[in-house]
Amino acid sequence: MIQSALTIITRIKPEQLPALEKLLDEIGGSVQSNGYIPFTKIASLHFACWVILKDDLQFPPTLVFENNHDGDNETHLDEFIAGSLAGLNAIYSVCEDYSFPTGANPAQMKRYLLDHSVACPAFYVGVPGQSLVGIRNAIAVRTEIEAMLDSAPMKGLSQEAAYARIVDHIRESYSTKPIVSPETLDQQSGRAKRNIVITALIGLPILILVFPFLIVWFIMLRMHETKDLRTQNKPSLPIDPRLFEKEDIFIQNHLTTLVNVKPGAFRLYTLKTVLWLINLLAKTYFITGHLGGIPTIHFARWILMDNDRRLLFFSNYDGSWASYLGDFVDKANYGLTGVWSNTENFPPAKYLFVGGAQHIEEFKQWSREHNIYPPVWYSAYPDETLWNLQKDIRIRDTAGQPLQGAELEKFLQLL
Amino acid sequence: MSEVPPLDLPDIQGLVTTGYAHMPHSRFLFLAVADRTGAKAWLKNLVPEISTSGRRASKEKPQTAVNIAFTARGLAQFGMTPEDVSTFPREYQQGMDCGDRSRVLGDTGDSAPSQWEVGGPTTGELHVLLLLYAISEHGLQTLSDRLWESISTGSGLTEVFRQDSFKHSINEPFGFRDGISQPAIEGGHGVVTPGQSVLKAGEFILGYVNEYSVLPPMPSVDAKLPGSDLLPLSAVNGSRREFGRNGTFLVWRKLSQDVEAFWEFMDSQTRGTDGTSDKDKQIALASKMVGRWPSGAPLTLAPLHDDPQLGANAERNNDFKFIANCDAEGFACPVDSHIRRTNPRDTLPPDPKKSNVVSERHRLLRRGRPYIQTIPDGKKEEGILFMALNSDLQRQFEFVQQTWMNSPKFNGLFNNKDPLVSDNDGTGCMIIQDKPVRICIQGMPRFVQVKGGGYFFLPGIIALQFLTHE
Repeated sequence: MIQSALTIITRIKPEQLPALEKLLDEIGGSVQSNGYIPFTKIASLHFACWVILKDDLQFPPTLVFENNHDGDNETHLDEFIAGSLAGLNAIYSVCEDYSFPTGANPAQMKRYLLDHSVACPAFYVGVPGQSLVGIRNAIAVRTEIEAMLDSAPMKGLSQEAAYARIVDHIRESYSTKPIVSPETLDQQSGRAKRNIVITALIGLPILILVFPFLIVWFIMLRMHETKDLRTQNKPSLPIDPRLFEKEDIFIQNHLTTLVNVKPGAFRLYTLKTVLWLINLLAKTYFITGHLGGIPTIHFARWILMDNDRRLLFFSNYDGSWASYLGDFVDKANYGLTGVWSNTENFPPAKYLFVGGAQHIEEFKQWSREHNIYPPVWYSAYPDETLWNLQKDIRIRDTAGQPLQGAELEKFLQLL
Repeated sequence: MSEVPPLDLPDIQGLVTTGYAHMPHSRFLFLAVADRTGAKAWLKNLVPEISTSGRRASKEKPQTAVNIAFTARGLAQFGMTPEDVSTFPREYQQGMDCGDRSRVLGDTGDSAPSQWEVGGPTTGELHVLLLLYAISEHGLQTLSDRLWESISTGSGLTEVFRQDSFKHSINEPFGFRDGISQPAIEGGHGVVTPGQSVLKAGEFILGYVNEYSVLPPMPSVDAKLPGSDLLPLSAVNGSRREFGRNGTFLVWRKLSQDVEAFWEFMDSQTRGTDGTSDKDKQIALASKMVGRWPSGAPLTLAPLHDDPQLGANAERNNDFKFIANCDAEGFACPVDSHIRRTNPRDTLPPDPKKSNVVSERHRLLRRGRPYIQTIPDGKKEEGILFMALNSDLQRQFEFVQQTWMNSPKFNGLFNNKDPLVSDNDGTGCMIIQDKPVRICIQGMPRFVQVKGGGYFFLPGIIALQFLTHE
């Protein structure tokens, strides 16, 4: 099943802002068991988050909802709304365009949310094709095998004998029958390799065709970059202290980054092109659990909003903020600079992709200043890293198959 | 960028370039400022006594050494304005006992700052850390008398805590050779041994380029301040002067090691079916947790039994990587082991080449010393006074602690923390890669407790002179 990204952007009635903040804090304070949104019961929901954008006074206060879910938006919303109608009414009744004095019914709520949803120019999935049901199944299978290993140590057994015990155990277990992935991780990595060849074969002739335009674009880019250097006036922005309170409590964390796109069509179209390229790669090549070398991202997306004047980045990742930002710089600085050098206050970049995020301290400071606190953030599997999930899926998909030699050894090492 | 500027050794405190290995006696005096004028006068007299890296370069072996460091509150006590203190990184300003830092460091339960002997919220504010070293006990006492005890009355400072240390052994209290893997500073003195990393000076000294090829953030003061003209002008902001140049951050932690519980645990896990103890098996299990044998021999190079010759040989005992030395899976040195977490070498994703680069961006200069003392119930308490120098507390010390040691998910693990020094609480387990499948050691307790600590700044000599200015 394909995972999707839903983003819903609504304007908040300014006078209702404090009430909404209070409500979201209440929901976020007990996200697993609040009385408004029964997150844990929604079988198609991987991650969800509400943020309020209010600090930039050029724009009216805005509520953004983002989630990662299985299947198409409409089917997912049917399930989401079915259990959360009262909660959603409470949240959206303080937003503009909401005109349901006695509360929206499910169909009206769905229409309202879809009407305010926006397209996602770049979207990345850590384990493509894995539904929440499938992920939970993989976790359960591995956990059960582990419990079995711990209760009956296998020291002294041959690999074959150990494997036979594991397979028997899974067969006997009636609680967790493995639901094998339609496309295995190995098949996926094969597809990634084929895709990159195809992309190159199609891309190269196009590149040659548009080469004259690229030269013009490059000259314009350098003019813009030189101008930006001269006018670089980077104010120090306040950092939301609440960011630190919600961080590093779980294995996973959430990052929202909001920036203003540099004015002018040149930057906007450059940005849109880079996002299009990232999206293309995310769909074709980065399908094996890393985005530009970063192996800790479950889902990530960029959204353009407010008539393309602002760029919003959402991601759900493993580990600490410091290690995530370190990975940005260590492993993916070119790609990220390619995106964010088109936005204001970003550390100075050269040739679109160079510099920028390589200035680690400036980059971290820039990130902190533009991070948005998420009052409500939900993860369906908060204790699982992406690396864990990949092992779980591999274990689940392989266990029970006839394995021997190196393949068997590799399987047993996953545990 | 290609030319490496020479280190300004006479302005860099001695501890940065040496651990004073030939001076086994040391004392750490934690002082608080009661009167600024007096404290400044005391510091003024002390500055000429401070050991610098320049002195070290002259190759004569001194009998004693003196270094000094300050907490953020300490700098304020010496007259630094809030605006100037705010140019220091957040972690340092908050201090090690702050709640945010405790969460990052895993200082919880019995190791929480509220339980500390020094540096906690109820044990008295720390401002100054005076580090004294000597080749003899007598020499240490004489030095300490001269610089502190004999003049402490009326000095403007009070003593909050003191900690003595005698380095009686090359082994740490659990019985393992300590301090083997230590990076060298590019442009510093000393011989580089095989396998030793040579890192850009900016990893350990402010004012120099670091492993990212950029300058670390520079704490600065208002250029209009009287006395600040001693300090170099900031290259990026003409209204500021560089206070941090040639300085670095010092992490100080008192870590008590429960030696008895450690070996009892090894015993309980390795007893034969008839209940008999097996010393060799205990040592083998403990070595799996450390990643080295007691002699220091790395498991990756000596998988089956200790090799004391290898362990003692500085030319060989650190000259290895994990994947490059055929230990990718961790069958010799477990993925979960202490040395594989604190320095993952070539094992981080996505590949060994990148990993070698990334691993070097989180290194520490370790300056730790052991301690032993009698506690109220008559028992001995042993441990390590962990000291480490780095130019970025968040990216170096805290990162290693949080992302590598205390993370239950390190390098693909499911739920395992550093078996030796993490914030384990008796519920976690240790995974030892083995055939046919991994072995799980359940119920891992916390063997090492935090008894106190602080984040200090070890300024350059000129910055110290600036602090003495009235």
